Amino acid sequence: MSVIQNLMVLVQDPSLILLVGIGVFVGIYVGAIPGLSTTMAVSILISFTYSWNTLPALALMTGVHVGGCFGGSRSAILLNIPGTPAALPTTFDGYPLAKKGKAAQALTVTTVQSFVGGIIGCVALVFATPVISKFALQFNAPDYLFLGILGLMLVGSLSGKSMLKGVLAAACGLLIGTFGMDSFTGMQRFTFGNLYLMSGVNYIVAMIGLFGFSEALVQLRDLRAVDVMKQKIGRLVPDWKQVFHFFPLTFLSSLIGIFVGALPGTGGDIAALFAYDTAKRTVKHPETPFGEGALEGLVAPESANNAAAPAAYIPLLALGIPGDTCAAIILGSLVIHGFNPGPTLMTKNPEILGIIVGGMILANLFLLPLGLSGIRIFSKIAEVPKQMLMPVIIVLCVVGVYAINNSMVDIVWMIGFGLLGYFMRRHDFPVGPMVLGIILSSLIEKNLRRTISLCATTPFFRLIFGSLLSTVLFLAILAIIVCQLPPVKRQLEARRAKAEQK
Amino acid sequence: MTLDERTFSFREYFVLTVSALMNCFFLYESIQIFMKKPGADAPGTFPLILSCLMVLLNVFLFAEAHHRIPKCTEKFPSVFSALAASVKAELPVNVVVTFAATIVYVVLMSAVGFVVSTLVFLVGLTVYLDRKKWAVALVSSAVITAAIYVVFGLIFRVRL
Repeated sequence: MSVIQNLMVLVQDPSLILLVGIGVFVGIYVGAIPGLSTTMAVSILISFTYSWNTLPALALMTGVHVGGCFGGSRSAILLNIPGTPAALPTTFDGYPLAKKGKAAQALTVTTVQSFVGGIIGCVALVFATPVISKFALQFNAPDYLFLGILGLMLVGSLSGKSMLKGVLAAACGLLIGTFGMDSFTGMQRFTFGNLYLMSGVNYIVAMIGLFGFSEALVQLRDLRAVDVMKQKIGRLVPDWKQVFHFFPLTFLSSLIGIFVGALPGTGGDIAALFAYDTAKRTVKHPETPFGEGALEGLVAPESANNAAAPAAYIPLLALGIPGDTCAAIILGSLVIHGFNPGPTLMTKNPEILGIIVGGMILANLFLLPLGLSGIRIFSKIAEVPKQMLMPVIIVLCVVGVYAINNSMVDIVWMIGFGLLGYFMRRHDFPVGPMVLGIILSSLIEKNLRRTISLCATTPFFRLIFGSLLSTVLFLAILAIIVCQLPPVKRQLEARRAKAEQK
Repeated sequence: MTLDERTFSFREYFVLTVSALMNCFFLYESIQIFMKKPGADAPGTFPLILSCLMVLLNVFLFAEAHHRIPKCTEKFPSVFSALAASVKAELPVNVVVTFAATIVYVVLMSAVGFVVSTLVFLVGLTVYLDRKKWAVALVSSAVITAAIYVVFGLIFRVRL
C-alpha cells in the first residue's frame, strides 16, 4: 500500500479530523502561553489518551504538536516572550514590528509561513520516510547502536549550555531505562527489592514529572505578570503576493528545518535559529534591517520551525528514533499501544504512518484559519496569572499520571521526577536527553549486546568499517567527541570569533 | 548581586558532589549486578558501561566548573551560612509551599477523593500565591475542578 493510500485512514473517519482540529486549537494556545510547553502538553495528553484507540490518540497529539510549534510565535510577537524555545528568533523582529503598530502584519506573516513551511515538511515526510525505512531494513545491530548513540550525543550537545551536562543527563536516562527485569535473562537490575521497580520505570510517569511538574515549579519561582501589548489588531488577511515574494527564502529555510528536524535528537528550536542566521547572511538588502522588524526575520525561523515538526517523524517512523522530544513522547505512546516503531512499522502497521502523515498535513491546513483568528482570546489567555495557571497544571499532572494505572505510587514517582527535573533545570542539565535516554535505553542495550555477540565471530573494527553507514555514524560520533576536547574547542571558538570580526 | 549569583559557585559544586555520590552508588550497584553474571553481553554490561561513563563525566564536570564558574561569588563566613543562603536561593518559599501542598493533595486525594481534594488544593494554593483574591480563587477553583471532572472523569473515563 502506498503512503497516499494510507492517508485515507484519516479521511474515512470524521472524528479523527475533528480531533486533529481540536489538537491544533489546544496546541496554539498551549504554545502561546509562556511557561506552558508543547512537550508538556503532549506528555500530559499521553496519559489521558492511554485507554483510547491508537488512531484518535495520535490524531490529537499530532494536532497539538503542530499547533504548539506555531503558537509560540504569538507570544513572541505580542509579549516579546517566546512561547516555545523555537519561537526565540521570532522575537528578534516580531516584537519590533508589534511596537511599530504592525502586530497584525507580523502575525499574518508568521501564520502563513508556518503553514507553508509545515506543508513542505509534510511533503518531505511523505517521500523520505518510505525510502529511509526501506534502506533501514538492511541496518545491522552496530548501525542501530551508533545511530542511537549519535542521537543522544546530538541532543546532549545541542540542548543545553554544557555538552557534558547534556550527555550526563542522557546517560542517566539510559541507566534509568535499565531499571527492572532484564528482557533477555529476566535478571533484576536496580530494583532494590521494590516490587514497583520490577517492571521498570514507567516512562510516561517520568515524562510528566520531568516536563510537566518540574516546569510548573520552575515557573512559580517568578510570579511577575506578563505585559500584553495592547493594540487594536484588525482582521488578519494573508498577502499571497508577499508569500510568493518570500518563497525562495521560505523554501531554503524549510529545507534547513527538514534537515535539522530529521536529525535524531534535534528539533525546531535549533532549526529556527539556524534558519534565522542563514537568512541574515543570505538576504543582502532587507527592507528593514534584521532586528528592527525585518519580515525576512519572521519568514525564516517560522518556516524552518514548522518544517522541522513533520521532519522529526522521519527518523521516528523509519528507524524508531525520534527527531525531537515531542516525537519522543509520540514514540512512547506508540510503544504503550503495542507498536514497534522502526522500519517494519510501514509494512506491519501502515495505518500508523497514515494517521501521523495525514494528521500533520491536516493540522497544517487547520493552522491557517485558526492561526489567523482568535487574537483577542489569546490576549485574555495570556493574561491569566501564573498563580492560577500553575496549580491547574499540577492537578493535570497528578490526574494524568493517576489515569495510567490508577496508582498512587505512580504519582509519588512523578513528583520525584518532577523534583529531579526542577534541580536539573536550575543547574542547566537539560531534561530532554534524559527522557530520550529512558526511551532509547532498550534499543541501544539490545543492539549493544547483539554487537558484542557479533564481535565473537567478527573483529570489532571490521564490524564498524565493514558497513558504510556504521563507518559514517562512528566517525560522526568521533567528530562530536573530538570537537568537545578543550584544545579543539578553543581553536574552533577562535576561528569563529575571527570570522565574525571579518 | 542577586542571591542566585552570590551562591552560584557553592550551589554548583554542591549539585556536582551530590551527582558524583549518586553516580558512585550506581557504579557500585552495577558492579554487583555484573559480578552476579559476568560476561561481555551479560545483563550487567550496559549498566556498568553507563555508570563508568557517568562517573567520568562527573569528573569532567568538576574540571569544567573549576574553569567556568566565576570567582566573584561571595565568600561566606562558614559552610553553614553558605548552605542556608544556597537553600534559600534554590528553593524559594513559593516552590517549597507548592511542593508541600502537592504532597498533601496526593495524600488527601486517596482519603477524601478527587473533587474535594482538588478544590481544597486549588483554592489553598491560589489564595497563597495570589494573596488577596479569596472569592475569585474559590469560584475559579470550583469551575476548574468541575471542568477537569467532566472532561477527564466523564469524557475520558478516568476513574477519579
